Amino acid sequence: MKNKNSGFTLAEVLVAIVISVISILAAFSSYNYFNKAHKSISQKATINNSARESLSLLTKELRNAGYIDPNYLKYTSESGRTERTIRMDFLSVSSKRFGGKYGQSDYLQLWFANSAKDSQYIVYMLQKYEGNSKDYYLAKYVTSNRHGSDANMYMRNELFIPYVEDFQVILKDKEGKILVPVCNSGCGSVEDAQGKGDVVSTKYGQLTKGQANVDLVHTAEIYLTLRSPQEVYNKAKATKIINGEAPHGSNIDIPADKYHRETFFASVHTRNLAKPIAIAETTGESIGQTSSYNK
Amino acid sequence: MVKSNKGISIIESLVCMVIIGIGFIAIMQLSAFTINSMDRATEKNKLNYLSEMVMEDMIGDPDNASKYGNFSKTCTSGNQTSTDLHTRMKKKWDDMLQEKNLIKINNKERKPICNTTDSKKTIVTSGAKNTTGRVNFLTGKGKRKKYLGVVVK
Repeated sequence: MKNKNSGFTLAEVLVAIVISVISILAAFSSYNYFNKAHKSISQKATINNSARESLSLLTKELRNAGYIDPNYLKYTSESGRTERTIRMDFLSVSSKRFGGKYGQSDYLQLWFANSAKDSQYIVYMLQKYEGNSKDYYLAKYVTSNRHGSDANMYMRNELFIPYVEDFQVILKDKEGKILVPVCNSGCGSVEDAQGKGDVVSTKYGQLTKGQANVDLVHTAEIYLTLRSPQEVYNKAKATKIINGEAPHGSNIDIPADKYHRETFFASVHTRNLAKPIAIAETTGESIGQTSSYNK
Repeated sequence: MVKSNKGISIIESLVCMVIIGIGFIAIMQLSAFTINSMDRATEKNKLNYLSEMVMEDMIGDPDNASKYGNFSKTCTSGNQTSTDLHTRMKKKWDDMLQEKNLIKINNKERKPICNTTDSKKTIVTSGAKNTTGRVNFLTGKGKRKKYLGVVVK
């Protein structure tokens, strides 16, 4: 009986080792590649979802800003409140320099009465994560029925958009010019420099410039710059963000890092603020004569 | 009795590796495709809000709506200069559609991908009873279409 058990030669073993090493390296580099691809996709998806979620809400609410249901003043529990006092006390829309990660982000405030008995007072602002984090998120606070009795009033934190680098709300008049200031008490440094406290005459009587400008708001432009929660790139890159123009926009230089950033822009016509009646009253013409507030 | 323990030859194993390698390359291309898809999704998301911007500007100036038509942007157009509101709005659209000055990476402006066959147009139709505005945004070599229309007044 002939039994052939010759085994492998040295050359065969060496070739097998080389092939195995190549296979293992290929598998390892593929794993790395897929891992990075997955990370990049998931980070960008997070940014995309955050932008869609926040901008859809923001645009919807800015369209509503300043709306007062025809029966609101009649049925709210606070008798004696007039449209004038509402406009004065609770600004229909207001944007002011507030802070954020780079000290240039805005604080947006909105008010509208969506039914005879309900009103929404909404605030958007950037807030810092707890602990040692230097990052900020976009928070939304809603106070319902602020004009009603205390029993009906409640406040809740509704929105959480992670890792927001900059949030700008630029308010413009019907000529497309930037309106600053549009705020009442506690304005930011930018608004203070533009004479927020100057007294001007309006159809509601004497108001501060910051209050009077509310009814002139025709367009609201939103810039939202979001950052990936985790690092995406292999090499660090310096980033410059320019959202809006002076005197209200931001101009931020971010030192080189490996994060991905995207800026989303939305523009809304605030149809409940710059209304035809405002021009008709200031010009003395009837609404029929003016036919449009843009004349 | 002759017992044969031949196993696989080196040629067979190399062919096997090549086949597996082709499979890996295909999966890598798939991965690159998904990254591109994500970028396209982001661009579409931005474009949705930009199309709304155009509509909102028309709604905000209803008496002059007809002047907001005939906007046509390709990869190279831009730089309208006028004091008219509608011309300034068109300049704003132009700037925003090419993300002008929004983000600079290593001092280089980041712009959305634009092909020569891409176009962004507005069409305003004034009838006896109403005026309608539409946007036609074509991206991705004209393959991806975004249409939006409203009755302006």
